[in-house]
Amino acid sequence: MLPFSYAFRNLLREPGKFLQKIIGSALVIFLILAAGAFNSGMRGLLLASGSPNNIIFLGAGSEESVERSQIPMQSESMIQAGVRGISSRAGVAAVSGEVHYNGLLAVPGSEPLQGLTRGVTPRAFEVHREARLLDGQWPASGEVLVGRLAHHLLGVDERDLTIGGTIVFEGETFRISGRFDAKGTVMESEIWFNRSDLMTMIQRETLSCVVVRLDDPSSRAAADLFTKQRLDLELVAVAESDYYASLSSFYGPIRTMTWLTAVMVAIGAVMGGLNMLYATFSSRVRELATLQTLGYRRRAVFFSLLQESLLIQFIGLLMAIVTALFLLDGLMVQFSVGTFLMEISGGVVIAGVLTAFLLGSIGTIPPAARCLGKPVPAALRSG
Amino acid sequence: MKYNKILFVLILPVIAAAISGCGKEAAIVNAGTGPSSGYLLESPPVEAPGLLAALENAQPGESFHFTGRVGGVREPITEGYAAFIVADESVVFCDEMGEDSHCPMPWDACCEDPGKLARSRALVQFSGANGLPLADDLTEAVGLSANDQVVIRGRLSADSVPGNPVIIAEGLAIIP
Repeated sequence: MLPFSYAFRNLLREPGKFLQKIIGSALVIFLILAAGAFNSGMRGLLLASGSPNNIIFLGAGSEESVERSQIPMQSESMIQAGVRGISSRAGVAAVSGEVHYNGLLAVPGSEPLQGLTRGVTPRAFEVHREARLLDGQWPASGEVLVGRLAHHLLGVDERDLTIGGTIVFEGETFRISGRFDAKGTVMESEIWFNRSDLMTMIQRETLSCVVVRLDDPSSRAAADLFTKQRLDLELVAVAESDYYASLSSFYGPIRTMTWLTAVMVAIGAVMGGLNMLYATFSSRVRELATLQTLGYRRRAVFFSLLQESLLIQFIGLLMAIVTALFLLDGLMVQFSVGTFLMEISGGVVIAGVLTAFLLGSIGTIPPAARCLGKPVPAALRSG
Repeated sequence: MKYNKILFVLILPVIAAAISGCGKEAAIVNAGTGPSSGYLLESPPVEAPGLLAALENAQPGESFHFTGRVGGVREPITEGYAAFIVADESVVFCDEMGEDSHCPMPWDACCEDPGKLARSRALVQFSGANGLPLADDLTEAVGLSANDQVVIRGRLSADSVPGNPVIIAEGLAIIP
């Protein structure tokens, strides 16, 4: 075997090309990390948003979109009375009739932007247990609660949505009475209204959905049975986790597009890299043949070339990870149902390591095979 | 020591069986109890009226027969309970419209007039002695599936209200 120091010294023989290779490799891996962080962030947000204990009662035919759903107001009390196994705390049943509306919101002086609003009662906190009031108080009439990340959706500074501030919705001004968070769920980007206020503002007499929390997720059959026992209400019961999983599938093509874009650009970069490796190895055909005349086997020379290539890829990997941690980790990305954080998680880093390994190993085989495939006498005479 | 090991090996399957039995029991809460066999009618009538005609003449507490199709909603059979939705035969299912495979769920009758559909459905449920629906899966127990044509013998539940009939089934037959 050739010593490792041989491979290492070779890297620094041509500093310009060395730098070029590292930057190329870092760019490819960075793209893969970016695609991975985007995908896992979006998927993570949607999966975290659905609690396995929660069941959403929607209007039949509106299973895909809670905003489109309309169910009678009295459904809330009927569901509370008719569904067995509903969780309760201090005698308060975890049943929340809600109105979801995608409307134009603004802070005074800014351009109105599309934002998600939810009309709720205090029982929303019984159902959405991950949501908690950070500061302030439950909104009275003419007041709203803002999610921790709502400012991203409205395109304003976080300081514009502090308690006592105002939000303009449908031409009316609402005072911010409190702020809430809901660990990594879509709710953090929402603005919660007093349900009666929102229904009045959007002139609506029906609910969008009723969310219930069950003591045991396996009791969901009881919720389904209720919808069949009360066919007149035209309800369907969907597990909240299933609802967000289907929403995640709906955004699947977008995630696929990010992967495709990353892979396409990466393929272009890999082709460029291969070209460079061909040129580098070709200029070293005589050197590689000389090593063979000195007694090193072809396998040992190939292994040394592989070491060189892997070293470059792993330096590129380190650069890509550091850059991604600085530029991407924690970056907030908005999409129609919320805001998610891009996260360079363990899984994303593993994807980067695999990419580096594949680039370094598979990328070395064709140019190395071409150089080492020549008979030694012919190789010694070449160049 | 050796005897202890043998005793442990003998007891282990008993403990495992007891634990798995407990899990199954906990899966469905507040359900009726009763045998999972005996859903099928021994001698179904050759001719039976449709659901709507049968409901017109039905008296509370009296048994009657009727025919219908399993459907009228996207998921007509309740998983975990012996209950399903049946639609009157006058309801046009999408596979009866002459356009093959234009609808992935022909049994939901999505092309039918919503008002007519709402008036032409009923819940059929098998209840235990305590009046609660039986915790069973009719797909597994009798091979019931959406779009099946069935003959049912049952009586109108006291919980039925106009537009929301509930039939306590005594037996059913799947018409091939």
